[in-house]
Parts: sequence; C-alpha cells; structure tokens
Amino acid sequence: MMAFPSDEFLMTAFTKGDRTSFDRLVSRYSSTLDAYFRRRLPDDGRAEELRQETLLAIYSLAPSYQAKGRFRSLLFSIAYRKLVSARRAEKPTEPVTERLEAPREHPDSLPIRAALRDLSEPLREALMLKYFEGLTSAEAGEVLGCSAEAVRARACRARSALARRLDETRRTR
Amino acid sequence: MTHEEYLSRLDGFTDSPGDVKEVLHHADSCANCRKERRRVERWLFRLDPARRSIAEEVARFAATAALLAIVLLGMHRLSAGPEESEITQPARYRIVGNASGVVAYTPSGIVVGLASNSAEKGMTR
Repeated sequence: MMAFPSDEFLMTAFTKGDRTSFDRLVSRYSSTLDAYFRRRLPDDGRAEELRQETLLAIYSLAPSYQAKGRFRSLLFSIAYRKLVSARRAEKPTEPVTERLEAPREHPDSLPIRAALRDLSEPLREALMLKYFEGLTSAEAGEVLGCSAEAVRARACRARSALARRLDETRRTR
Repeated sequence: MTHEEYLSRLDGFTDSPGDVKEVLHHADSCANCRKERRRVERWLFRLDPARRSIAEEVARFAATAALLAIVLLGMHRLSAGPEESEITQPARYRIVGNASGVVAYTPSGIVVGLASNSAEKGMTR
C-alpha cells in the first residue's frame, strides 16, 4: 500500500470494504472539520455534533461513492450543507466568526473579526474556505456551487471590503 | 477601471460572468489590490495563528535539519569505535639518562637502554 495514499484512494478502498481506510480518513480530517465548525459556530457542542454528522454522512455515502471529484470538495460540501442547515435551525446567540480560536489570537484581532462578520455570507465563506481551510478556488467553487473564477472574484471583493471596513474603523478611533 | 472606481462599485458586483471578469481583470492589474491582498492576508493570519507562515515553516525545517545533522554526526563518531579514535602514536621521547635504568617515559611505555642504540630494544610495558 502507498505510504501516503490520496483521499480518493482511501475512500475507494473503503467502498470495497477496507474499514481501516475510513479510519485513516477520519484521523486525517477530524481536526480540520472540528476547526471548520468551531470557526463558524459559537457553540462547541454543536460544532462537535456537526463534525460527527459530516463524518457519518461520508460513511453513509460510501456505497454510492465514485471517485470523480476531489474528496476534500465533497467533504467540505457536506460540511457546508450541515452548517447552513444548522444556521437555519437555530439563530446563533453569538455572531458567526466570533470564535476563531480566540484565546490564542492576536490582541488586535477584534476589529478584524468584526469586519469579517460584516461581510456577506458568500464573500466571507469564499475567503474563509481559501484562507482558513486552505481550499483551492476550484475546490471552494465546488463547495459553494460556483465557478473557480467566481470564488476568486468573491475573495477579491471580500478582501477589498474587509480592508475598506478596517480602514474606516481605524479612522473613527 | 481605477481602484477608486472599483471600490465605488464594490457592493454592486455579482457573480455574473461579466462582473467576475471585470473584478479579476482589475485585481490582476491593480497595485492597490495587490497591496490590499498582502494586508488582508496578514490580518487573517492573526485570526488563525495555528496556520504558520512560509517563513516559519522554513525556520522549523532548518532547525529540524540542523538537529538531525548533529544527531547523525554524533552517532557516526560513536560508531567509529576506539580503534579509529585511539590512533597509535609513535614513541616520542628524549634521552635524558645514561645506559642504566629508566631513561624516558613515552606513551608506549618505559624506554630503557643506551642512547646510541635503538630505543625499541629495551621497551617494556
């Protein structure tokens, strides 16, 4: 077996009955998914639930899995859908992106988080998927249901909006 | 489109192919946008310190490589063994006495004998 098999290879092996392949995928993406939900939800417990639900969904779709696209895109697409459903179901008491590993972050990050929070959902998600989850524009496009070019354009607009907002905040201080 | 024009239209752009093309064309050719991009990347990095910058990754790699080199060098020296580390030195001495008794102490032992004769003759250990 390959020393570092691709996600797609592991998922295909899992569909053929190799359960250890799924375990490897879980260990590879568990903390990534955890961070994804914690950055976007105020409730750690809910984030943990959604991580489990996402992994369960991946487990459940194994019989119908076909290695056509990138596994990461599939994983984050499911995670994104779970997130959207969770947001619809409950109004967050604390705004989205309030977290972002607050205890370890830079002290000047409060206005940055506020500016990020004020971005529209499509712009913010394009920016966060690219910068925090490390997805390529094509992968983020598959998650968000738009083209890679649209993701790039959204990220440009998001950066400009963020910069404008932060400049305004600094001027009014 | 100047950067000011781009900013004034920022909230009006959509995902339509025309707008996407226009935004990307501007972003690729605008120096202000490039500067803005670097600023925003720095800000976002502050929000997520778990992500390391490239410089940090290089520094970590260099430190690990140096440590590994030290360990390998140490292991190599240890595995060389005593036969290489204890190089047999030739007997170096100066004759200070006469023909009788001890005349020199050398790393190879005590040398006795006549100064005119070969020192190896009377070498004892």
